[in-house]
Amino acid sequence: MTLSDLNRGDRAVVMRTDVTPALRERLRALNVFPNSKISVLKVSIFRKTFLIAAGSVKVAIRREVASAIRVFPL
Amino acid sequence: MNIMLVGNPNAGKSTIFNALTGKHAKVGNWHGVTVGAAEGKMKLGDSEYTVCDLPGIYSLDSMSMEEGVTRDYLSSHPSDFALFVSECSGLERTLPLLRSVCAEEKRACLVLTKSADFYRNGGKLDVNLLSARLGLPVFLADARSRRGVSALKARLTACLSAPPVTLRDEPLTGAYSEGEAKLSAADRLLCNGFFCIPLFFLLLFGAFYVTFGTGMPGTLLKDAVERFFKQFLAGKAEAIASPVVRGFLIDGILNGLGSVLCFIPQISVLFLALILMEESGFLSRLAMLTDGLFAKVGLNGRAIFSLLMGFGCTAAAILTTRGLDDKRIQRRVILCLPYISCSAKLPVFLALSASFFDNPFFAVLLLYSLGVGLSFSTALLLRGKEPPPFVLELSPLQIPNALFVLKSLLFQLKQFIIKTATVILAFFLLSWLLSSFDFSFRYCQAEESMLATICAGLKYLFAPIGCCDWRIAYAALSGLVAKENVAGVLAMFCGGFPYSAKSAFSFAVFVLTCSPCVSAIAATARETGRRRAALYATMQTGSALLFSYAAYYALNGGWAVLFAAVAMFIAVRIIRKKTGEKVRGAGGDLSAKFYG
Repeated sequence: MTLSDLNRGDRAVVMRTDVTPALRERLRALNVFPNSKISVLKVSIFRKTFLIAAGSVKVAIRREVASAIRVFPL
Repeated sequence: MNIMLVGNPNAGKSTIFNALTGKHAKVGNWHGVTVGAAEGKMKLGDSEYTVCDLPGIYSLDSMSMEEGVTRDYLSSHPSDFALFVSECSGLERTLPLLRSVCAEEKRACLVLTKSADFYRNGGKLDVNLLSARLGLPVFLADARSRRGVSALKARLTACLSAPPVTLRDEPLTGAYSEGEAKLSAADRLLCNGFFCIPLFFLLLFGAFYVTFGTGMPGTLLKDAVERFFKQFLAGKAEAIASPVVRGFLIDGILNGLGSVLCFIPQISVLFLALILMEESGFLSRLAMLTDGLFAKVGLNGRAIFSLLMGFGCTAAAILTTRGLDDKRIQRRVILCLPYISCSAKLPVFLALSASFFDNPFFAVLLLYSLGVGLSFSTALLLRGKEPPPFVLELSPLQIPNALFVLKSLLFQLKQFIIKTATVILAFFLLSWLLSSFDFSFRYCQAEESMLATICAGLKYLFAPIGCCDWRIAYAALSGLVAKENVAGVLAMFCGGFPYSAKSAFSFAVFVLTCSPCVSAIAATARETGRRRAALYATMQTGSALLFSYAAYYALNGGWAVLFAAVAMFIAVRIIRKKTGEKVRGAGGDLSAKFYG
């Protein structure tokens, strides 16, 4: 399952991020890394953008990147 | 000793820099505001230090270009004092950076900012215990108040005389707990596209209306300033006996300068709207909601910051493109920016629109909208195969600090006045000199002057729009020095725009689509290289002439032919794209560059 499959209010644990090293570092700096907990705050119309809470950080992620983040739903 | 301000984007480094040095580095409630290293001096007791404000960085494995600036600075200044700045809520994200930079013994301390939001989200913090666990001085700071700045300087004095520290790797349990981000009621509203985007257009429309709507404060104040220069002061100058001195004062200075300075009230309103949108955190929500639209033209939501900055100043907007993720995207945004009408074009549009509209508000709105449309069309034309990824941390939602907003506004106005009093005034004086004397230095009419002889050949440039006049061509090209010059030169030579409404509109289209001023060209050269900047400027100026000819042709009944030509162009592009896709095969794989 990936982040792009989640809906508003869903919580999950990040399993892995299938992205380039540079993007992985950016996501890590925003609290999105393996074993971190996230929750979906909002999903935009047509599911183009996902707004998640990663700790105290709110991060907006486009669907393509969200599709590359493997999660385990809680 | 040098003091480096290091930390994640939007941690408050530039606010602290301004507080310590008294300078005015650009700050904003946005990740990626600082795009280059800035230095300033600070006195602490009897000692003077150089403080360096570095662009925010998430890690030493940087992704964007401005993070590369910080990485390079850190590696070339290993013995400088590192003042780490972190939002309270971002401490755990700052720790890897802290550990990388302080891998060996280093003089450093950690300043925590934005504690109010942190506690509101349920965060817990014991500063003394945290300092003991990390092994370096840690303290809270509020650089926005005078007392906060004094306290910060006192703590910093103690840290600067302390020995180098070695970071400890102890758990932070009991010392720090992050809390969890929630959506407040206001945030739920602003993160809703059906509310936020109409609100944005309403705010923009409102700002424009207050700026240059008939009877609105912007227009009334502008008229008052203009009357002061052109009637009161010029009236006094009429009494001077010498025609040369009288001409110098009235034509060389008052008419030209007055036609630029009178727009200060209107430019203030525009800048105020931009500052408020930026400071409140509204922009990052807008970036999130418009990312889908930007993706369709090959950009991402982060571009909205640069494009909105373009309404203020193109040069400043070009510098903010360093916050974008790669050079290709940066170049595309830089090519789009000249079509976003900066505040310097406002005087020109208002001066010209008086020729073809009783109420200039809708005329100027039309020109601004045309510019935005051209900007998006440019991005669409240059679109690559895959849009860049979009990952953005939302800035906290906050009520802008009134004092901070006022300081930012005054800073922008100061820059405008300085530019007017130096570059623009120098240009007006030179223009007056060359247009008031012939090659024998005899005082003469403009048509017999040195400038008329030098610019004689230029008159054909705008002949296709009904203005076979060297003065119009000179005014247009003076915009390459500073856009404000166009309005001033027109006022100096012609009083107003002396041709028809159709010619005025076509000329406005030229100003809208022309290469930006030398400041913006210099900023482009810094980001993309001199050859590319010169190429862009030449292409944009050439195409601006063609656009103005096309506008004039369309206004004279040729719109059907133009429409057919544009439709044919779009059809050819679509057919070529479809043909290309068939030949290449349906390639749906995501670019390996971004997604591995």
